[in-house]
Amino acid sequence: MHSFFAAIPHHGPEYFGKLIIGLLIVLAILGLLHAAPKQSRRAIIAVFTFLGGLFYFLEFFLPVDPKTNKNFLTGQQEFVAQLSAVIGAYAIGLGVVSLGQYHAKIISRKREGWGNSVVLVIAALIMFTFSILNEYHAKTVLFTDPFQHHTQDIHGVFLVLFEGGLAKLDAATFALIAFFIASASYRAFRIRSVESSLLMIAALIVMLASTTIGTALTNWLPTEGPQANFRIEHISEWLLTRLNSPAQRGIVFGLEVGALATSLRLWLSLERGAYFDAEV
Amino acid sequence: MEHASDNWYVGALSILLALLIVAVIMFAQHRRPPTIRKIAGLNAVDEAVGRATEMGRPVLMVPGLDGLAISTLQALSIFSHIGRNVAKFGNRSIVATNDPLVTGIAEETIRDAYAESGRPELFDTNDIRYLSSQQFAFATGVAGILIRDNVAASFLFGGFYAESLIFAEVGNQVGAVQVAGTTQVTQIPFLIAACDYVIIGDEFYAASAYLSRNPTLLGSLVAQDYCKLILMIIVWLGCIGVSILAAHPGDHPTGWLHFVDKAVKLFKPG
Repeated sequence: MHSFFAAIPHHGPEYFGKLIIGLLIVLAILGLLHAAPKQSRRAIIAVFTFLGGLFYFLEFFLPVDPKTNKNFLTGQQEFVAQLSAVIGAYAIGLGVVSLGQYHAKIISRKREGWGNSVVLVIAALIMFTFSILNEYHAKTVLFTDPFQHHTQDIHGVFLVLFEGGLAKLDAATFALIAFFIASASYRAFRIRSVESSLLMIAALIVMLASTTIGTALTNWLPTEGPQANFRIEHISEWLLTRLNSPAQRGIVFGLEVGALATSLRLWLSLERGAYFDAEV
Repeated sequence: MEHASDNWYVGALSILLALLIVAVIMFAQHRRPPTIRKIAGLNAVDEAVGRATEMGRPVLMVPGLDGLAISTLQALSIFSHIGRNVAKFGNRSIVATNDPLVTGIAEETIRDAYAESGRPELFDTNDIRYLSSQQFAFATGVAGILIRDNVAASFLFGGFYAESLIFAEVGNQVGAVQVAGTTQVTQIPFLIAACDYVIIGDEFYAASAYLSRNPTLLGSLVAQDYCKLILMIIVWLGCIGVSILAAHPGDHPTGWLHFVDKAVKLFKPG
């Protein structure tokens, strides 16, 4: 089993042979699942879900060798993770098809904003082409700059697209958050109720304590003794560690217990039908 | 902690909680389902869907950026209920995802929701949109949908990160009623500041039970409360134990202090 899934170079007859065998196996499984009656399909999914969960459950609970801190299932984790990655890879194809269909329809019907869809399709095609070329022919020279007389290879163009385009657009969108924080805080801190007033006072103290001018306000208080508790940085620390942290931990406890319950329901198929159909 | 044997007490506690959850679910399935308290944020879900229908504008649902995780499946379970209500009113449901796997599941979920409401013809595959797996490309995509489709109600449930404020603020700008719930504690303040209703903490996992009144889910919800009670008792005992040890300093506690010291160390992290 492991030798079939072992990493091999991405070229040559062995690579393409395994690729075709893998594709045929997946197509056969998909065909069988599609042909199976709905009730059997549910049973198959429930069995695979249980087995998948059981693997991780046993891997966590079975005793380990103290020298290696591993049990006999620990080494198989990568193989199971690869299976998930393969399913994910097929889904990427589905996502691209869905995206392509949606924007092709907008362009063909010239709906409002169809120009944006044209830009998206062209950008996706260019990025896709240069990502593939960068993988196999990174050093191939594309053109020579007529002014500075230096050559530009495929890897260079890919970097311009990725670092100069995508990463910068990402950073620009991230920067928008600064403005959104200002507008959201303005609404949240408006004094309308006791809760929003408390929120505003707490935020003001924490923000002031993080600035030099803020700490200067209570600089005249002694650093030792009971009066030191009223220094703004100490009040801020008290708010963060004695009020904020316990509240957050309480929320996390609830979330983790909720996640445990949901995981159990899914693993044991206790709520089959909660998503797609009536409960069985 | 990689294995249960690293700290077997915690492993045993996990098993105990898991057994308790399964037992209470079984009990709820075969006996009278429990009643649960009102959650304002979840009451607002139906109100928001109704308002969107009155305005003739669509409903947007975003299941977070966690990929195929428990939080996403929980979000889809909530969207299944919302989708049924939207379909009953004959309105449009748009779902935006950042993961192709989630897109497929979301499509099935919403398709079935429309079918169960007797309006399968209203379901449009193009309304279940995979936008991008890049965080901020996805964020701008969702912002674009909010503005272009003039969304009237926006439901943000799942794992959200820095982009949560972009969704919530753009939603606010277009005048959408926004109900949000996330598993990411750091994002809760942003959502509270920008959304109309926020469900906090484990209310997120209570949402599907609250909305569907499914006995299995209600049983699970009650079980979660029992589990939290057990954890609270452990925390209280821990606080008392640590306080007692702090009042009696010393490297090697003896007598009953030795017992307290041992008990406190059981659940110490690391």
